[in-house]
Amino acid sequence: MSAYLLIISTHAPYHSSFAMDAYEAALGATNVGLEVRFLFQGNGVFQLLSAQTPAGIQHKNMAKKLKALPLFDIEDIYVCSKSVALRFEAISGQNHAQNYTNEFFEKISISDELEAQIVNEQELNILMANASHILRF
Amino acid sequence: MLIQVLSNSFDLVQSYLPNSVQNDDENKERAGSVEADKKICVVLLQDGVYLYPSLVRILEEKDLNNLIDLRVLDIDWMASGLGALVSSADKSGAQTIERHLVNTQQWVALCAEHSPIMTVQD
Repeated sequence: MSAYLLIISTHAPYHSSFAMDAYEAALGATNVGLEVRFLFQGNGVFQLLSAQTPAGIQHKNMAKKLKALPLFDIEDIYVCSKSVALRFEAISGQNHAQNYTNEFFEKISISDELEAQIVNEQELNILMANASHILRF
Repeated sequence: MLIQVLSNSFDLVQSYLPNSVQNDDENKERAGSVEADKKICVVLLQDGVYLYPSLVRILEEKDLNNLIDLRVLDIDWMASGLGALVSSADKSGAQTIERHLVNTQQWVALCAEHSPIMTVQD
């Protein structure tokens, strides 16, 4: 397996620069020839919601920006299943959110134009262990 | 009292809610003073809007709707993209959020009506 840079995005899309910093770091790294893999974890999964309408707060749509990642050769995109499940549980009031993960993904942008792998905790550990460097935003 | 929440960390907010999840002595004392006082207005702004589903659930579970007036700033709610998710998870969710949304002018008016104002942020 080749060495790669893993970028972990853990913040909601707006009102702080973390999400945009992660995105720009990924683009910058791939521009200098590094292999980049991108992981959404924690509140970072909120960046994937397709119904974002940030015009009122003078921002560009983060979900639309993320759809461009494959154009910059960032095709290995991962989403932490536990983060998704916990957040969907809060929204649906269900106690067994793991069962509803696919339903959640139907509502987020990665389900159509951005291919991402949903990873569990074990796969997450392997992903991090095999990275040559990890940047967490 | 008005609490404006800019953080999506529930831990930062829950200690200010009367009879909330925590039930320690300090909280009971706070809850007593709140019940004797007017309604608390909680306004969710910026990343605080992501707390909305959790807060709605807790207010219902703890029967706090008479004590807490929950509001959500509309532009931040629209930006989040949560609307589609909330209404798909719960058919009445879309109607419920409509009742809670405030625009910028209404938020400013709420700030003028209430005292003190507490801001909760990371």
